[in-house]
Amino acid sequence: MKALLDDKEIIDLFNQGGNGIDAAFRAIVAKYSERLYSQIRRITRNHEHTNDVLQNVLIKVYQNLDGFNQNATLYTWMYRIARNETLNFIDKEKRRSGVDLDESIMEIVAGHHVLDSTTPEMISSLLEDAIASLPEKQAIVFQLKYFEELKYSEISKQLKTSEGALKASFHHAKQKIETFILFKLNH
Amino acid sequence: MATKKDIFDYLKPRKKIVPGQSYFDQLAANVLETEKVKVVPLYRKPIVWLSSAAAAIAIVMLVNIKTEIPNLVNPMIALNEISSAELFTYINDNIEDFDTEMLSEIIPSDNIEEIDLIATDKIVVDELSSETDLNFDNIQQEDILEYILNEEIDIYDIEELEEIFI
Repeated sequence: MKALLDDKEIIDLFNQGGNGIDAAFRAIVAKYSERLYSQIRRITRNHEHTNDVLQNVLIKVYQNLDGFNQNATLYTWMYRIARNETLNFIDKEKRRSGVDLDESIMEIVAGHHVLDSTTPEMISSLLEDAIASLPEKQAIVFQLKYFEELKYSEISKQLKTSEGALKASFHHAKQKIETFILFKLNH
Repeated sequence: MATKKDIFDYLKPRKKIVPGQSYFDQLAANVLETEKVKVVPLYRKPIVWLSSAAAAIAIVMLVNIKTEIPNLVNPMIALNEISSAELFTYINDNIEDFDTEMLSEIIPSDNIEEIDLIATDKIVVDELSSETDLNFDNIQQEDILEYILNEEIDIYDIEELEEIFI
């Protein structure tokens, strides 16, 4: 299997121009598209919508790569594009015909006095709303850790953040999400 | 001692549903193809729109110039389309630019402002057209001789004059 390039190598490749631009783009897709797919699908909850949104996201990435601010990481930058693109898509679809969120992304384990009275679909929606309410960095850390099950060391490399800061960030994110969901379910 | 549980102990993410690797392999190619196709249509580029607009304006201007050229080449045709009233107005406004002797011969009045422009339309047109004919019958021979002397013309060079005098 071909080794994935790191962000700096990808940007250097892009800056070479010519064929380097397409090669850099291919490297980005190879490295991040699966993660972006999961991020988008958690919200759109079906493949067709996810595919449409992901293609749009990648087109924007391709078109705007020359304006990428290298103080951020590629994933953070693309996460933001994907999030905006997905939320815009959902808004549009809701206005047009109503989105059919036919997949739940969560299962409920019996035994919690509040969660027992709700459904996986509702919890899935509340969880996504809660994530959307988090600061961007916390939202990214939560998703990479909770859904993608990455190790802190891997997340640390991708986000250029210390593992300690990531642990704190994940802990705060969980607390906020719990508060958000319980507040919504109790009202 | 039992540890305090949070809601995440009662929630479990479903197994991710992700398409096969071939889908992701094809993604980059699809996007690049879309982008290349997007780049090809020139009509989307503002520069092309501007160039097209400029070219269209240039063509319209050229067509206008072409249609105006016959009027410039043959001013007599254009003069036929101008009414006598317009001509008189123009002459009145630019009287100082004309040869007064010529005007006095054409216009049967000492004061151009007294002329009824509409009523004299036909007369003026007739006189203008007769003026353009080269008819020596209306010119006195003394006048012709005086003209020839003033201009220092050799009368043997002019066939028409030979016919008149000889």
